[in-house]
Amino acid sequence: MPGVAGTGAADPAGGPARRPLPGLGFLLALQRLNLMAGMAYRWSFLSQVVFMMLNNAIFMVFWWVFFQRFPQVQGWGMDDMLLLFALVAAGFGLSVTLFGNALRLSSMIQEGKVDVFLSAPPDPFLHLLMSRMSLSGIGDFLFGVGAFLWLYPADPVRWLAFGVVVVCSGLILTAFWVISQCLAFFLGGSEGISGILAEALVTLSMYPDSLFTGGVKYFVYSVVPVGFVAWLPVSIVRGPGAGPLALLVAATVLWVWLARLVFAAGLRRYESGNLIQARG
Amino acid sequence: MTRPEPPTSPPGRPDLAPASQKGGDRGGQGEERSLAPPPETGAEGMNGPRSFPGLPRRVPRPTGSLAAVARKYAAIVATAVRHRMAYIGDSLGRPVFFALILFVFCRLWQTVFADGRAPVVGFAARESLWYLVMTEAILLSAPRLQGRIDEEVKTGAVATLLNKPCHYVGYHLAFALGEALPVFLLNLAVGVVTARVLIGPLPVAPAAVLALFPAVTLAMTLSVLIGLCLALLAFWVEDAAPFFWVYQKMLFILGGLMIPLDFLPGWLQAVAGWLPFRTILCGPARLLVRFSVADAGSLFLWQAAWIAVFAVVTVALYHAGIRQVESHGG
Repeated sequence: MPGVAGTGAADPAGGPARRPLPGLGFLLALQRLNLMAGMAYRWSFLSQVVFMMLNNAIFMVFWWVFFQRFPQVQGWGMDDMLLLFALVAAGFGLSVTLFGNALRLSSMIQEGKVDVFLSAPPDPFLHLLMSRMSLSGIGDFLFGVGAFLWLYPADPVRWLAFGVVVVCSGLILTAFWVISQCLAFFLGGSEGISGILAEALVTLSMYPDSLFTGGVKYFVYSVVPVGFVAWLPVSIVRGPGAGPLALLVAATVLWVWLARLVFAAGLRRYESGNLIQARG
Repeated sequence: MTRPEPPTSPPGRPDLAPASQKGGDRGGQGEERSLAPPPETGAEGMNGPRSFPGLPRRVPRPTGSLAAVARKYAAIVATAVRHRMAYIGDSLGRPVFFALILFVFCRLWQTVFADGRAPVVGFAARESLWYLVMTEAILLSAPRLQGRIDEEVKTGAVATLLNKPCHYVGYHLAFALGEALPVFLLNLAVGVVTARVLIGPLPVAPAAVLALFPAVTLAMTLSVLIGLCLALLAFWVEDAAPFFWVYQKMLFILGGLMIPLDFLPGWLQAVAGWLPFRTILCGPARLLVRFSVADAGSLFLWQAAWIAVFAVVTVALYHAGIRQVESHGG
């Protein structure tokens, strides 16, 4: 049943009618409900947060062991890796906490679970993405903030830079995941390729940029925006500067705009499964 | 952030969602199973329910000769192999990720050893990368029990295996090993080709190849048993996923996933030496890169000992947990 996505009045071009973006109050209420639902299971909530922090800390042990043996890798040392990981973990945590459905979009599209958001008054883009919260993401975020404060305990300028780049990093991650997951609108079963792209972005962002040269460097600043998620933020925090920061903000706006565009294009091709479900 | 997990279930974004929010395993497990009331009579070796509602407090034991039992579990292994082969397309994401990891570490090791740095305990860039081929092939092929067994426990689907003429633990062990086989061969092939292209071949002793078969089989068996132990904790906790995260990271560090344990500080090597993780990853991978008969013999003994320990613990956990299951039909 093509075109069900555009329920409601169609615009003159034949596409779905534009609906208002959900207000801040609505989004805050969504987040509050997500958090309350997660905290209802006390052990599950605490264990996911605490164990994820522990999980990340253990990963840093690998780099500690590595740098004990090899103190420098093309200018990167233990503190640089900790900063990189702090930024990526905080950005990742922010993304999956606030936009918990970004990584599930593909399966939701395939299973027809987008329907319920299309029948609600607000614009479905943010409503859908923010309707779930990954509790372990809170652990990622807290670990990232904690690691950063460990490195820079009293440096307000860097704190400010950290705050800005983490938000940008989280938004670019979300936008990239949305775009890759939206392949399901066009290809059908695309969980495999979407998963690979998501993993590639996260995996590559956890290693120094000096490992990548030549064509690979262009690839990781364009097709897969690792450079904007991890390495440019690291350079901004190391030495805050207006130029790189402006570049990061511009890249963020571009990726978010692209994600919105791809999602809207995908919705026009979406076919409802007429799935009837109650939202928990 | 957690690493991607092996592809026992169809691809998605493993690791990032709590197990309780996953489902749709094509293997038939998970919340889609119905909870059938236990048969009151007729199941061989099974006692009737003592106080309904509830489940029989004793689980069926495999009966018959040892050969018959072996044939039964061999049939489960064969079924799992066919099941995985039928959905081998779902597993193709792992090799791509595997190749990506090898590329990153190839660059890392080439950078580290680029300035004429001497090999560390016999490991230079080439040895380090081939070591990673084996550890990653094992890790990425180990069946993913997180979100499967613990979901069975949480949803009560565990009851559907109670009236089968095989032990729950034995069934899952056999099924998981069967699933791992084709995925391991696929991953190994991709790893070997990728490493050859990236850094060149590694001379391997024929004896090492022979020793790797039992070493990897025992490593997988141990890995599955530890996974079952963790998943069965779902009888007592709401979500067993965090235990898997920590176990995975223990494998990273104390199992020697990315770097051989020889690279660790002495005290950490000593700690790792007393834990089972090294026998899953580092042990088999060292056989590939630096084979010695003494190392192989020692590894087999440690693997067998840890398998015995975890087999006992797993069965004990299962029997303790199953006593708490209450089924009301449906």
